[in-house]
Amino acid sequence: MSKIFDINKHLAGACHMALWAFLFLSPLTYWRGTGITLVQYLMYCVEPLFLMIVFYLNYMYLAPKFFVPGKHRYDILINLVLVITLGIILHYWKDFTNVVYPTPQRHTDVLDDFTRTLRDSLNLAIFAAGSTALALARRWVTADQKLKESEAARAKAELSNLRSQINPHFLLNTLNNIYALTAIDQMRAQDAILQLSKLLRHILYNNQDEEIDLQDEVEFLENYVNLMKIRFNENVEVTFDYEPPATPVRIMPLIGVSLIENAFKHGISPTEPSFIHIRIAGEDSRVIYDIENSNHPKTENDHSGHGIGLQQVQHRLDLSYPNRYEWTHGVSDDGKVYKSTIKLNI
Amino acid sequence: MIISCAIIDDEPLAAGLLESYVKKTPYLSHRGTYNSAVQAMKDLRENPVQLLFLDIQMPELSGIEFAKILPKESKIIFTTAFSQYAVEGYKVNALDYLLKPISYDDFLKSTDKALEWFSISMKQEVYQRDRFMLVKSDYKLQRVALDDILYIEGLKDYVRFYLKNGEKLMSLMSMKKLEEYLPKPEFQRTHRSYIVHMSEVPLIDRFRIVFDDVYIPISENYKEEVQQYFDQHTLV
Repeated sequence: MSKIFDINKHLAGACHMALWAFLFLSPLTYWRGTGITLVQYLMYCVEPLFLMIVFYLNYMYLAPKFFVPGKHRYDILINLVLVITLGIILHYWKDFTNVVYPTPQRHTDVLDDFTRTLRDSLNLAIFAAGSTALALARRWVTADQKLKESEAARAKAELSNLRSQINPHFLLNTLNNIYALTAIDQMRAQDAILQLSKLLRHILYNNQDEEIDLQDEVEFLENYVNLMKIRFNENVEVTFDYEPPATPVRIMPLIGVSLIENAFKHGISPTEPSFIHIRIAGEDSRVIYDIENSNHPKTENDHSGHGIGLQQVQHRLDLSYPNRYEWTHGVSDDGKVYKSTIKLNI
Repeated sequence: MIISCAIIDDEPLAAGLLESYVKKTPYLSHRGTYNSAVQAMKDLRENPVQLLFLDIQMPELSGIEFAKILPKESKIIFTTAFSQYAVEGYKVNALDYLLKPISYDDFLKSTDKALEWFSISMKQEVYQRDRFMLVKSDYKLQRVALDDILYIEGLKDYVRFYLKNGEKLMSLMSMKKLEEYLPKPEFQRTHRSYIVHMSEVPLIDRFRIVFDDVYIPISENYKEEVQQYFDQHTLV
């Protein structure tokens, strides 16, 4: 990105050089053979020099500083004063050179003086306008560049953020339950702490990788499910099946956990029997997540979820497996079972 | 005094922990544990408990909603993992709220609050109904009818009752407790050291209460309530 920018910079420099070379040197071509002296040429050079002053004063200083919203009138005022002053100076300078090196066709009536001065000022004004336009174009290109860079950085941050998303409510609720367990069943409490520790290790370390071993991901999910289970009573039946692939397969972490989170959120009723069946199968070039749960729609007043979970899954899949995944989800015809299946082509 | 209580929490472990706390607290009697508000509804409306430990975030029916349909005599201590719900909890007249994880210390602080609240409200009810109290004085218990009291003066750790028959009675107790027990607005604190039986006030002179030759001051703190009482009874 910055290399292209550098090339642009060099190209712009070359253009500037060419312009000034043309303005300074062009008189030499039509004065050729008229016996012009070096001093006369240098005296002529004052005119392009004034153009140069106007140009770069605008380009470097006036346009960035005064051609901004709310200050345009200062820019125009300064340029007006500058252009007229230099125009008048230039006129007297030309009169002076005419005295030193008289040329026959020169008239000296007042109207002529005025039109010549006007013409010179107009030339200067055109250069002022041109350089301001150029400065604006450069400013716009730089701003555009910066915008693109920040967008790229944001997309990257978003992806890494998505990877490390785990519901903080899950952590807090799990710790609260483990606290209760320590008073009721110490053996189970110990198990739960071990599982939580493994789960956190996975989130903190493995998670930063783009892809991880399916085996590690499945262990993480199993820990997650076991920790969720301690929050529910015997009414809830949870199964977890894993069919490992023949050869190790690598996948993007934390896809399954959103689906399972969802299953626990919508699949469990405190009063009626509920179930969650989780199946993960690895094949040579495919990984299948298959999650089924009893469907207990939440009441209207329950705002604990906002549908962000599934949107995130979709977003994550689009970012990491563009056109290489298949996701079906929905409620069965009788409305009792919710089924979600993701097939990833590795 | 024994307070009857019930627990509602959708997470069995959280409910189990609270149940174990209730059972080891001598002044609490456990009447039931429920995993959902819907389950508890029928029981608690037919046989209200005095104190309810109620989880706020539950599927089906939230603790806040449940609290609104509960009989008035049941007082609530909300339990929640998230403090942002606590403010909502206070709107439905909760006694207290407990933030999970709940330690036994936190639990006891809350239930002590409840115990105090219940003992005060019980005394209030009894005094209001029977119109007399038994005052400890010189190792004896003496019956004092509320209607016989003119005013009460506070003296450091003691209070002194001034009765209609001119008798005075000293007892060891705090003005603050006494003020809470006595029915309002019949009995009104007028000053750090005075509680006045308002319906027995014979004369008000330049906003001072006069019993025969005794002037009782009205301090800035209680001015408004006293003024209101007099205004209500003033013939214009």
